[in-house]
Amino acid sequence: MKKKNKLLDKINFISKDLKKKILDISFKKKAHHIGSCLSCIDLLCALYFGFMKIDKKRIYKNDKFIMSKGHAALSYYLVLMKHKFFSEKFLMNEYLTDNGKLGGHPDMNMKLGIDFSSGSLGNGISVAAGMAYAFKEDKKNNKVFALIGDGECNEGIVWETALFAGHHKLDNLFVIIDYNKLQGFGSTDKILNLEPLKSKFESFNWNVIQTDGHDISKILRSLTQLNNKKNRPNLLIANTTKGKGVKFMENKFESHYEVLNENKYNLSIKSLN
Amino acid sequence: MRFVFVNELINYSKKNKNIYLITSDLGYRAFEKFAKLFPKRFINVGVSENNMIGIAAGMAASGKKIFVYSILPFVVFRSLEQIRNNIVHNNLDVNIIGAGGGFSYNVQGISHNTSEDISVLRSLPNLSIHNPGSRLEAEFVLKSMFKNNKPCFVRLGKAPEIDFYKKKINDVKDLIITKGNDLTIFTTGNILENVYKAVENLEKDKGYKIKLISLPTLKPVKEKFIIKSISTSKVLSIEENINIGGLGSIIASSLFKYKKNKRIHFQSLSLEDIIHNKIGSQNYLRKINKLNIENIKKIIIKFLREKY
Repeated sequence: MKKKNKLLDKINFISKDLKKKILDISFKKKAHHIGSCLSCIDLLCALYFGFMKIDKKRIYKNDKFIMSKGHAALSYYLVLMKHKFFSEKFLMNEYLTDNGKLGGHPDMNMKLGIDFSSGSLGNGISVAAGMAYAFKEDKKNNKVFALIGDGECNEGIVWETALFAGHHKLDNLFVIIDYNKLQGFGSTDKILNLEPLKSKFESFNWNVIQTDGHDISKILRSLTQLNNKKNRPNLLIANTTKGKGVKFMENKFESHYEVLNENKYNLSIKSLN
Repeated sequence: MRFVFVNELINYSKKNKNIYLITSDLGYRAFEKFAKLFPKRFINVGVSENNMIGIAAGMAASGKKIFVYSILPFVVFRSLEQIRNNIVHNNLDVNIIGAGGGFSYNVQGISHNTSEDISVLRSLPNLSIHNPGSRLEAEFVLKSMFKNNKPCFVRLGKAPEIDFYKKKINDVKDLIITKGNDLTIFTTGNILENVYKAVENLEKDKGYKIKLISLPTLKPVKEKFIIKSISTSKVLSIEENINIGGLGSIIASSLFKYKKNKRIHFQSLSLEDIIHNKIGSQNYLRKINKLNIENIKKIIIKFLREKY
């Protein structure tokens, strides 16, 4: 129990640190998608520091992860940085710079820990299912994770893959929906309603758990529960808040687009603390 | 030619356990033998071309050699973005088999026939493009696909009754089918059958000596081979593909690049830049697009009579 609490403390600490870095780097680099990064950083931290098998030195033995909502690339780069795939200096030099290796959407680069490219919504879940299928064929126990957005679930390919993964019982596939209920023009229920989302996936023969996507303990418990059930692919519907931690960004779809000026940056740091 | 493909695939799959064949529910009465021999390595993803390419990409990124199969426009045009982003940009070992191409699907209409596939795909960097015109050509290009670990596309139409080669093709030099000094013709794909017959008839009836060269691989282009093969002042290209970005463009740009100081007269016979939605047999559709044997002969005669 003590060990578990220690782990939770560690992940919460990392997540808090990375939230500040999201604001710092986005401000310095004039990056968009801050709200998206804050929405999923807790999920990424839980996965990368509490659940996935990741070892920088043995990348071919690792679990795989696809950041299907590629626009939140910065939060992904930050967890990779924390895993020492590269340094903070490297991140600052390469992120959104001319001839840099870390673009606004991630490009596949095994050495940097990026298992696959993304940027066009919907594709990550399909590629992840292909990887999961290959692991099964090779009789390996590795898992494949894909983090997808809720707006992304409008894409037809998501449902093609939902059928495929259910049919092939890909229980080594874990899809996490960052369910902040906001997309391009506003709220998902007004643009293209996903509900009832849980029972939709259940009817596609998936294991589904819905939980608080900012509570590390609940995220890890849900992933473990999903992992204990076999013969079905796994979906974690993570209830999240876009712009989490920065009051004036929370639940605002504008935080998808907004670039921080100095005033807003100072306010956001204050809000985070 | 899909039987050539399946048989070759079976041969290679016996040696290479990493080969997987994925279909989007097409290939009935063609893939049964493969599926029986390698049940685990035959995946029917259902009618879902986008997901097929995603699954293929994920498996290839995990070290598998993948062949995906569908009716050509379904896999190419519906999944163009998946091909571009997932496969081509990440340099994955996925081989796309597009059944049909040109007017191969005849009366089935424009949803199944294609005039644009080669032009569109040629613009994707890092994708090899093959368009065999006979069984032996299909074997030849498949050999390179099995050897390579890079993204590939093949337009796989119906095989003509006869083959035009006396022996197996081992080298591009073997693709020079007939020799002659009056005219050099380049062609690609299964329109080769009509071109070959036109050339053969003209030699018999009029004594024309035509050099006929088939190019079953359109990317990467062997420009030097093309240029070296031209031994006449008149050059003609013939293809069942639109007049933008296909074989005609390849020959024209090769000529421009390497022979701009020499007097070469070049003409291209290809599909016009129109919507090819007429209904009819492959012969009928070729005829109205000037790609029947008689018309190919007419165009050759007219070109040969022109004085410059």
